Amino acid sequence: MGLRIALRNVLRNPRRTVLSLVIISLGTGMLFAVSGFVSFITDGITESTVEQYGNLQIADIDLWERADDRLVTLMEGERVEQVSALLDELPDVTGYAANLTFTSQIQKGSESSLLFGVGVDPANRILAGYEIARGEDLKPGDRGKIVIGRLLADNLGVEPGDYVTLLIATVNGSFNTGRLQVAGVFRGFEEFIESQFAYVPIETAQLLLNTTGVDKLVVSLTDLDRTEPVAAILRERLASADLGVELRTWDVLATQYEQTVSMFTFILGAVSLGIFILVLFSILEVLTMSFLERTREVGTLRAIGTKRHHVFRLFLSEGILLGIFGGLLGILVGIGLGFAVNHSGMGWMPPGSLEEVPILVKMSPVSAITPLIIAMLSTLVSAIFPAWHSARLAVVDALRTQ
Amino acid sequence: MTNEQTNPGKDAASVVVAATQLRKHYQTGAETVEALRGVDFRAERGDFVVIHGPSGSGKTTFLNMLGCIDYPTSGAVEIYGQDVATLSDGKLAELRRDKIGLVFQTFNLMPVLSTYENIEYPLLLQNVPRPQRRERVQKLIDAVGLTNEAGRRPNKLSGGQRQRVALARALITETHFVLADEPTGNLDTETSKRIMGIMKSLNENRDVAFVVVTHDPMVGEFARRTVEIRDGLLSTVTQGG
Ligand SMILES: Nc1ncnc2c1ncn2[C@@H]1O[C@H](COP(=O)(O)OP(=O)(O)O)[C@@H](O)[C@H]1O
Ligand SMILES: [Mg+2]
Repeated sequence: MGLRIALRNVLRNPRRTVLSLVIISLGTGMLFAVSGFVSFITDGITESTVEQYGNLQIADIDLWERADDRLVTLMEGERVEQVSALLDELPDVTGYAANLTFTSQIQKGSESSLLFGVGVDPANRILAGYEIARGEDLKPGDRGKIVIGRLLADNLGVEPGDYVTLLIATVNGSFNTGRLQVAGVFRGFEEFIESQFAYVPIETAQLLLNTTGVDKLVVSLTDLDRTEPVAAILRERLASADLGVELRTWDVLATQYEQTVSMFTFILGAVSLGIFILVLFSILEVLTMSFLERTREVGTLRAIGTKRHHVFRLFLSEGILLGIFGGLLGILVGIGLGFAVNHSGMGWMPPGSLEEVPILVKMSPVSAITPLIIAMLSTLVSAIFPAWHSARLAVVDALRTQ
Repeated sequence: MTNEQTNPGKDAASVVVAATQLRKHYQTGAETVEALRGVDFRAERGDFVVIHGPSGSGKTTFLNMLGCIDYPTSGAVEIYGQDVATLSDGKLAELRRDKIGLVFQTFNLMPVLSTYENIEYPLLLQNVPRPQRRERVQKLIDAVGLTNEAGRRPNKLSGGQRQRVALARALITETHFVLADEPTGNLDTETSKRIMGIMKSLNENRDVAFVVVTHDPMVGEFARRTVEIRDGLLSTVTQGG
């Protein structure tokens, strides 16, 4: 009954109710769209991070701590085989590949630059990592070839077919140089990759470093969500095999990941708070007005035996009803906004990125939850004070009000 | 000037309301208005008291005290022997809900509720189960002649119909104590007579005590007892009826 009276009171002044619903649903809709955009962005960041690092990587325990001491931290053939055997037992593992990373100086004529090199197996590429812009990618069987980032190529004035010189410290600490032919130039996801990274066949990297070892096994899994469970099993098996290796998952490897994602989470939080406050104060004003107009009715209800907390509940229900209707309407508004954005072809430039990416709003039932909660919470909170005020009125004073 | 009304032959349990030495002062700025200046009053089952008095004499103030919707500055009000000053706000609300029926000059119906729902409302407060509610409301609606108006909201009713709804709402709890403040103040003479007639028959058939405040001389015709209020003091005009 209380809810029925509340509902009728809500519908009593259609203009005011429409105004309230417009405010709540616009706020909710906006929040739905913004949070859909943020989840699109963070999903994208997650995806490209995993593309860059794999789901997890396995290396000598010491490598993670002191990567520069190459003599003791590389994995030689036997350990690699033992780890590989463990990986082969896991059905979630879709692939793994050995890497050998190095830092060196790259030179072309009088131009030189710092280079982060990655030795990869062209026959077993499990990470995308880049897209070839000019020339071609490393092929199985390639020796003495290199593909370099587009910005790095531009800085050095290098084109596919040209030769570059790498100056590098071997694992023993002596100097080595290598002359490599540029097979291709790639486009990376981020600026620092395009300006500093290069890929060579792993045998070439081993020659340059004067080793037969590798430093990491990059592992990819069937699904992102399988990372933690597989990591847990694998950690245990690696420990009991006592191979002196340790695994790290992608989110730990990508040190910037948490930071970037929490920045977007913060932005979303700020937008949510703003909308919460906006809705709260607008609805507070509307409800205060609406309750005040009914002071005499409150007096009558109380005079015939309605308790204070009943009056409080009755008025609070009006706020809650507005929140529910406005919130649900807002999700529809949000879906409309999402469709509009997704078909508008708008784009934006993520920080550190080289190309505009489309602005898309990811819409899922889950992303409706927070906006709905915000809508209901803000209207509930805005009803509390005026409802409390009305419930506390002295009966005679309320009755005397015109 | 003050008189205590007693009705010999009835025991204390039949006393519905008793007020002793009621005073009510209103402070407005530097001025103090003494709306009630020591009033003693008592009403029993089956009483029909009409209180006359000019405007501003303290009628509404007095009735509000008896109805437990306002507090006296001093003095005591007892409802069925219970001193209401000792009751919490919640208990007072229960007392009003269960023991007192109120009728206002301006009807004071809930505009969002139909005739049926307005009358049903006190039973909802009492958590009366639905089948009983339906039966009791329907019976009373028929009794006050609003069978065809059951589904209408107050703004679709005439003044007389509205007051009949209000009367039914006051009586639905089967209270034996109804307070009415100028119940005919907004009605024409014919309608007023009809409303008073309903009250009179409830008084006679069900022993309901009515205390009716008015300055309408016609209402006096229905009284068993008439009391005059002037400058915050009561005096009996007629006794018996
Ligand atoms: N809330 C109030 N504040 C101040 N004065 C009041 C208040 N209520 C009533 N009064 C005064 O008390 C006196 C009695 O008022 P009331 O009981 O309403 O008289 P009646 O109902 O007989 O017309 C009047 O002088 C009125 O102005
Ligand atoms: Mg009055």
